Amino acid sequence: MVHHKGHGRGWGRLIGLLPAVSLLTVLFLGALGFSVAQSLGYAPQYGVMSFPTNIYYVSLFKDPGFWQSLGLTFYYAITPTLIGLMISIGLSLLLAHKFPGKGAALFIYKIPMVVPYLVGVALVLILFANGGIFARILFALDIIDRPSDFPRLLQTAEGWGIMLVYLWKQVPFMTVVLYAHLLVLSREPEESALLLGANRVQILWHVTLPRLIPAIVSSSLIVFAFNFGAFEVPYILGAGYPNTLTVEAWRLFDDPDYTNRPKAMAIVTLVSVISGLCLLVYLSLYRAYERKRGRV
Amino acid sequence: MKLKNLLASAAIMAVSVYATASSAADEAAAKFREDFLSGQLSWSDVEARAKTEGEVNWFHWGGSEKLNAWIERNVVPALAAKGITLKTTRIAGTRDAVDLVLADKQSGKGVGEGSVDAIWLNGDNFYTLVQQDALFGSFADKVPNAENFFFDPADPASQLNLSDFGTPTEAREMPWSGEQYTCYIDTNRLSKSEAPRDFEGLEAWVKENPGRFTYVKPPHYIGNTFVQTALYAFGGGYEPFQKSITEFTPEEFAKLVEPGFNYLRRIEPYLLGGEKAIYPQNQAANQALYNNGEVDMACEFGLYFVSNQIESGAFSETTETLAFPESGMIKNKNFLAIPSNAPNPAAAIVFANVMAEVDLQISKLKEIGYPLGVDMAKLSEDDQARAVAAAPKHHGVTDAELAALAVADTNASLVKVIETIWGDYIERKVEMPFLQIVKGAMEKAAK
Amino acid sequence: MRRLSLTGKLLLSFILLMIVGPFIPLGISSVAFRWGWPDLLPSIWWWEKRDQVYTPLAWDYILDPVSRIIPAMGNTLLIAGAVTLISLALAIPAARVLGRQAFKGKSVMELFFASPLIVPEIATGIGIYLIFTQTGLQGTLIAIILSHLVPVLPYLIRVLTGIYSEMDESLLDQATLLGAGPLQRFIHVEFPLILPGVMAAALFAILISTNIFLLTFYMGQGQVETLATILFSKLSGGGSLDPVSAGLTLIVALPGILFLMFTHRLIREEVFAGGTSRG
Repeated sequence: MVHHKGHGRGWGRLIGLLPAVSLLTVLFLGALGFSVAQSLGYAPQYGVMSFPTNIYYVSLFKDPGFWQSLGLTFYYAITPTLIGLMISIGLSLLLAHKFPGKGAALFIYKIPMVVPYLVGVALVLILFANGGIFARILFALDIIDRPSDFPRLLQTAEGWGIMLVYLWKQVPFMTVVLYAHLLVLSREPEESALLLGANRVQILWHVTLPRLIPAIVSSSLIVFAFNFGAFEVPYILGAGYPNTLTVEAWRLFDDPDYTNRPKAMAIVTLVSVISGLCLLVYLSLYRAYERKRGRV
Repeated sequence: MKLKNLLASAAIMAVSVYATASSAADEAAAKFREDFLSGQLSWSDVEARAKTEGEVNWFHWGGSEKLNAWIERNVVPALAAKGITLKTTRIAGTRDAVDLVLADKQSGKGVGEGSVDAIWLNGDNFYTLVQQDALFGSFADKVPNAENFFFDPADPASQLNLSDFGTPTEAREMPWSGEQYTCYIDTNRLSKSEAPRDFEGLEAWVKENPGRFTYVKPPHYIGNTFVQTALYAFGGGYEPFQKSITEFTPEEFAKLVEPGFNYLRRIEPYLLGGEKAIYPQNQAANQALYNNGEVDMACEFGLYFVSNQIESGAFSETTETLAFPESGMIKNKNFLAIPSNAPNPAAAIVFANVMAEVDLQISKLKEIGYPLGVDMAKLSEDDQARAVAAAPKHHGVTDAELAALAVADTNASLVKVIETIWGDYIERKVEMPFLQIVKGAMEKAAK
Repeated sequence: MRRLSLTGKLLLSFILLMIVGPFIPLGISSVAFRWGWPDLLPSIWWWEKRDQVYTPLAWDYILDPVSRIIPAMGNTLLIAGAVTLISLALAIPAARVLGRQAFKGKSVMELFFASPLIVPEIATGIGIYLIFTQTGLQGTLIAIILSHLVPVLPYLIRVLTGIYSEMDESLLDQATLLGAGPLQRFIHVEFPLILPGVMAAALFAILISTNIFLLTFYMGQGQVETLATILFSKLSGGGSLDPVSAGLTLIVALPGILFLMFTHRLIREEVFAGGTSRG
């Protein structure tokens, strides 16, 4: 792409970028700055003035509850990303076929993408609670006798309810990305592999999937990052204790004792840093993979 | 990047200038407060000022559709007749309103300048406002409808008005409604004769029927109250729990509460979920467990709770209230408090007075089953008869049974300590001697 | 394109059923009065009871002024509209520069604009809340609108930068040769060129804003109600879904579904993928 560079652009550039940059500097960098400063003990409004101190971080690292929450946060973030990815690959391959009612199917599957997560929470509550629709169906079929025989999926540390909402919301999203990618790929490699006698599983594994890798990486990355920092779903559908780091941070921030707030800020700072690091590691693994395949 | 630094510091400077430029106090409002509290104003002076203020901002728990509808239909017009617009903010937890008052106060806003005129509260939220010196003052005994209440400290009938979770109210809040902690059962699943009557009975019953009971998780106040009720039963009744925490040594307090906490630990394996006991987070989750047939018995505040739930379709018709436990059911009142930085203090006082009117109180009882906040014995015979006729029907108990078992709630300074002990001893099962846990909880509360 | 086999069709129907099927019990629940265990359908319906009780039930409550759902809807739309307009006003000039010029520090700039999309909402949310409590803005519409700019503006900049970098610059040059001034050139040539992209991006911005919960909840402090905050307070108990919650959930899902109807034929799948990347 050739860019115009005439026009003596210094000032024009400044005027163009300045409003957006200054707004985000104040609201975004300023917000992060506030969070980090409080996590280091700068909170005069709550009578905490021990800046700079690392006691909030140290006390977190010493608390086994923190490590448990960190583990759960990873678990709730990674599991639905992987399962969702598998379903999405299947769904996008199905959608790439010709079938009657395709227009409607392309409309329907996108619905979860455009509604808030809270809608997913409501649906999971009505379906998967111990007295929910599925439990009632099993009762009607004489498979269970009482609601407590139905597996407990909501508000437990196993987090099934949380992950079900993520799957419902995110399978469509990942599918859109994968399907869009499939549309622009040519069918030639698959067809020549078929001619060479490869079966369908081999084609999927050795031809189609490798070509979908960029879309797989970008979509799962976005989904993972979202899940890692999500709040309302684990808040409503997670266990009271232990729960994700974001929910623990919320509890501390919401505590009547304001001197707990710096600790909450230490947690959110760590959540940001850890999720940023994960993205970096993931991206560099991907780059290494691409280099190995000689694409870049 | 330099530009960015410059911008950042400019922004921070702007922010700090704004924050330190606190406005001058509202002198007229301050004078009103002083004159009213010292008794120099007539009621018509108050009403006149309320009219010029023109509005009142009331913050209340907004989780009940019935209550919201009743307020819109009854309180809004009653205040409009006095020239006051009622603006209600429906909050998920009363703490939000208390936080707002304290945040306003911290930024130097005094009377006439805050954002909250009145809060529906009791217990630790009131205690917090008292401790932070964030209340308007003793107004409740200076309004015309004060005649509907016992306020004389010499009269034992005044206890519920003068003490809110052990904190002296000093008329800094207006009694508005009353509640009693009750339990309920579905007689389809658990017959009245088999239902437990006391905590020993409960233990025997859950051992026979594991998983059919649980209670709301502390620190939610519904859960706290269940724990307190159990502590009463094993700690010599409600009297020892009226004292403030400063009157106990850790050893004494540990001795008082240990039998109750041991009981709670003993029944835990027989609660819903068994080894991994499930404690619902709040009353909504608890009601869902009951309603879906996961538990046969559940407890929460609400003298007329069962009839309300049956009427709205939430509970089956076979639900009955249980007079449990015989060792004492906690009863208290809840109140309307006016913060020290109320933007419309006169309108807030008029509002509190309207809320204490007999007609409105009877309509509240009749339409939405919220018990009277005014004292029955203070009403005229006519009004008493109307109130009795207005009360919703009890299911499975009588007023006399419930009244006979009513006991006072726990001193607010103990509530925090008890909930911390519950968290360490029951929820997290910290491996420490009980006395250590109590010491830790008392230190944390003293901080 | 190959035809779908029978197994494929069954599999696809199953997945689509999992996606929309749950809305059926939700709809039923919204018109129930009593739907207790173990009934597969409500034993008493809303319309059987609606004249017999004091408090309006189910949809009667939702549509009654008491529920304040209509004003909450107004707030939701007002916030989304303001956020979209302000973001566009800030994003177009920035995207013009980023999409059409190469300069030193451009990649730093791009990273800066991308970072709000990566940092979790709870981290920025608490920080922004702290800024607003310093200035007394917390609990106002302005605070909510400003906070929504943090996720929406970077998204718009990214999309519009893409549009500008694909723009045919020769048209602009011709306009200059014909003697058009900068303003005329923008209004008559440049703006029409970017308009379709701007429209699509604006729709996504509205969708993102209406779906944001946490920032609204923090900044509004319970004093500004939107559809998302009302639904949260109804659901946060985690109990069973009452008819009002069920009806409210349907209403909250409505803007997104309308959006999908408007756009699903107009917007390419890959643009869609970018637009909804943040839930």
